Amino acid sequence: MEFIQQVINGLAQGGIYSLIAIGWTTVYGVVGVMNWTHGEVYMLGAFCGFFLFTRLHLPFLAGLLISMVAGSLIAMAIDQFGYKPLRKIGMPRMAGFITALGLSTLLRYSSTALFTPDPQAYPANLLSYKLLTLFHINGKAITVSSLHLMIFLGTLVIMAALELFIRKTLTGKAMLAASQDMSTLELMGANPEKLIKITFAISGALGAAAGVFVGTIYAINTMMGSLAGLKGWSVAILGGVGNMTGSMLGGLLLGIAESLTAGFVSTGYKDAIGFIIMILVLLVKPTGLKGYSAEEKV
Amino acid sequence: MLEVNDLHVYYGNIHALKGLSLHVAEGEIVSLIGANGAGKTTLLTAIMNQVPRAQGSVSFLGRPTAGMTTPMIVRSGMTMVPEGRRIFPRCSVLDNLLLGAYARKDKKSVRRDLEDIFTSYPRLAERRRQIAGTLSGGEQQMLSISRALMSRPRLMLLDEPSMGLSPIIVEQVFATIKTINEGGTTVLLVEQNANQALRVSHRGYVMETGEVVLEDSSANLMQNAQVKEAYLGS
Ligand SMILES: Nc1ncnc2c1ncn2[C@@H]1O[C@H](COP(=O)(O)OP(=O)(O)OP(=O)(O)O)[C@@H](O)[C@H]1O
Ligand SMILES: [Mg+2]
Repeated sequence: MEFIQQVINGLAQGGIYSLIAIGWTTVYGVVGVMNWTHGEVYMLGAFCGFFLFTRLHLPFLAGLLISMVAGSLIAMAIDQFGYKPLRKIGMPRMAGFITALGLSTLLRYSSTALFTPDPQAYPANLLSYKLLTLFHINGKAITVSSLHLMIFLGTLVIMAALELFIRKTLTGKAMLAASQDMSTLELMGANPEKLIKITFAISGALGAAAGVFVGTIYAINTMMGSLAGLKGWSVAILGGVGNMTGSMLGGLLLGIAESLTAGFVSTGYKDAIGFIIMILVLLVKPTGLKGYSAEEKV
Repeated sequence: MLEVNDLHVYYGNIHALKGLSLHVAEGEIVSLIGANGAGKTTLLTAIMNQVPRAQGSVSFLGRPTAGMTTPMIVRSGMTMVPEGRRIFPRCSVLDNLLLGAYARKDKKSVRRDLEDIFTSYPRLAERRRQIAGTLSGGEQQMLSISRALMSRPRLMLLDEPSMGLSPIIVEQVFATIKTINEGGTTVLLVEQNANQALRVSHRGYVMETGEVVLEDSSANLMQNAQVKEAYLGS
């Protein structure tokens, strides 16, 4: 039952990883860049929430939504000034990579200078905290905190909304098609730049939402984007790059694996486990859990 | 309807199109025959502004297309069925078709066109929910052509639609092209299968290494000794 308890403990964090990874994987699928600034958008989303909650005393949902909009705008600006000029010259691989790393570093350290290098915490009374008993196994209670439960459900709602958008709207279908074959999609009269804007907007909103969710559980700081960005990327690879469902499952898997590691091995190994899993999966199945074969991925 | 004048395209220092000129009039099926590497795909992608032109002009419906993006050209009424079908393999058959109508605003007539396509090609109707990547080669080609039709083009460019298909399916593909033309769509058909292409088309061009070397009515081209020897295998 300790096992089941740890699995449940890992779900909220897992949902957050899923959000980050989906933001990674959609941009990679549609635009073809490894957007290393994604971790920074996540960090900025967390800080946006911090200011809204501590200075403006906004309720949680309002702060979450406004931070998501801010995340969209930031991600769109990053694309406009960082990647779009490179697309005009055919997006040289190395240049894209260096731009991404440079922008990420710039954002990270200018935020440190602008805000504070010290960890910050969201107001304690932002969300109610209660320990809920889910069920009993052999007389032992399996519990979940109301906070974790809300966060997990929140990530699920956002993922479901995104899935609906992709499956049901023509723009969503075009995004999916763009990740398979952009130049053919142009032959249907679709404007790639418009789709790329929408993709960055979605990615930014997901990253910021993840940041705000994390802020409700842990203290935040301006360096938090670096490890989260790396983990998001490994989850994206784990799930099969460009595959949203894969990222969703991969994120949950990582959250659970980390929780189990912390519970049964040591919290010290927690952050390493994601990378170990990623390497193992890639050894067995190079395209990831739900990957597409190489010739399909254009 | 389509005028191509003295078109030059380079890939680095490969001179792929060397001053090619051709024209297509409204209502025609024009075929363009050429061997591997002659520059057929280059011509079509250059017409769609997917590769840059070094020199020369293209005009569609009397207006030069220089400076237009590919989506703009599509919105003006010209589309291309690309070489190798290029359906979206992980989207459903239905979604592939709906994406074909991406640029159209008139949702009602899109639905009607979709029903028309499903009536004409019941195979696609049966498989509408299926992932397009699981279709057979012939079905994928039908899907690719139908998807192009969904943009309601006035001119359709087709790049080797018979490539890699069995003889029976090839017959069907050419019959489809003929039907589409009879429905009022003008067609520029690029083919290596000269026999079939010349049989359905009104006029034809023969191209070799980036240039047009022959131009005539399809009937005459089929009788031409040079064409017979090089492309009709007799
Ligand atoms: N992207 C490219 N980069 C460099 N060279 C290219 C490129 N695409 C085509 N070429 C070259 O340009 C020439 C014309 O190629 P193109 O694909 O237009 O011929 P094609 O007539 O369509 O041939 P096929 O029948 O094989 O489709 C060839 O010599 C080819 O090697
Ligand atoms: Mg070709």
